[in-house]
Amino acid sequence: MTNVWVICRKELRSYFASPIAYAVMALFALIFGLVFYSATREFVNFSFRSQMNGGGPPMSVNEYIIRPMLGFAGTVSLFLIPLISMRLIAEEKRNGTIELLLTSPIQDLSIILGKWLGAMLLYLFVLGMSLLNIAFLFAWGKPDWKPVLVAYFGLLLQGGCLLAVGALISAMTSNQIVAGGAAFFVSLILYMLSWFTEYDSTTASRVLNYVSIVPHMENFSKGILDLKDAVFYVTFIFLALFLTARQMESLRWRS
Amino acid sequence: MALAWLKARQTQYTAYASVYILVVLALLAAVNFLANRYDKS
Repeated sequence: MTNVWVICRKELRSYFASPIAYAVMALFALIFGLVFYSATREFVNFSFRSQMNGGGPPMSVNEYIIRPMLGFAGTVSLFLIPLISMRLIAEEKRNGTIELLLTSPIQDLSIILGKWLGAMLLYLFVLGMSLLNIAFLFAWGKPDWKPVLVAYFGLLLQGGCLLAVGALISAMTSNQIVAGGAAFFVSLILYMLSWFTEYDSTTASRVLNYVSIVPHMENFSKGILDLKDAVFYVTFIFLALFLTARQMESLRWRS
Repeated sequence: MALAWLKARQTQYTAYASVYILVVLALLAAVNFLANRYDKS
């Protein structure tokens, strides 16, 4: 466990030593801020209009602002996560330090877990940029905090899946651009699978729809913590990291 | 002699890795199937 933590810290430090971490955090903050501004402006306009027309039922901040915004954060992460994951193992290969890592007395699993955890921590910092906007809503409104917490948990799990897939792809190539592009392409397929299979009832379509990461996020964004969705994300992360370990292992006997 | 590739180290390791991956895949599919089947929500 100590090795995992050491590699995790080294990975996180190297993110902040390069412009990647700052660029990803700034991009996310900018996009999320724009969506926040747009969503709150629409919310305020709509509630004013509703009051002037005699008033209706009170509008929920969770339903009209937080839920769509965090759903949008999931979509944005689809573009940002390949930027985080592309260098995980590909850079070690390019620099020639992968041999040092593989011949050091550290298990492959510790290396992979450490790198994945480092990337997860950076993703946590990226998501943390949105907390400032959410804090404004808590300062001037009374949103329910529990669905917000569940939605953030879902975003973390979804990000963990995409980062694990990114780590697997990064282990397959020594070119960071190829790793980033392929990770984005695979993430996009995982995102869009449900669009094509939603209305099909064949077994293959149902399986493909299940593999898509979007339907599992719906419950989380509503604030529902469903065990089957959490199981899907955790098993997905496990599978991707397991395949990464097999890929790393194969570097020894393929050469 | 024609079957020498079957004893090659790469073939053995590839077969071992493939079986390992298939077993883990089957296990994870079973876990997901059970989680959906016994879902209370």
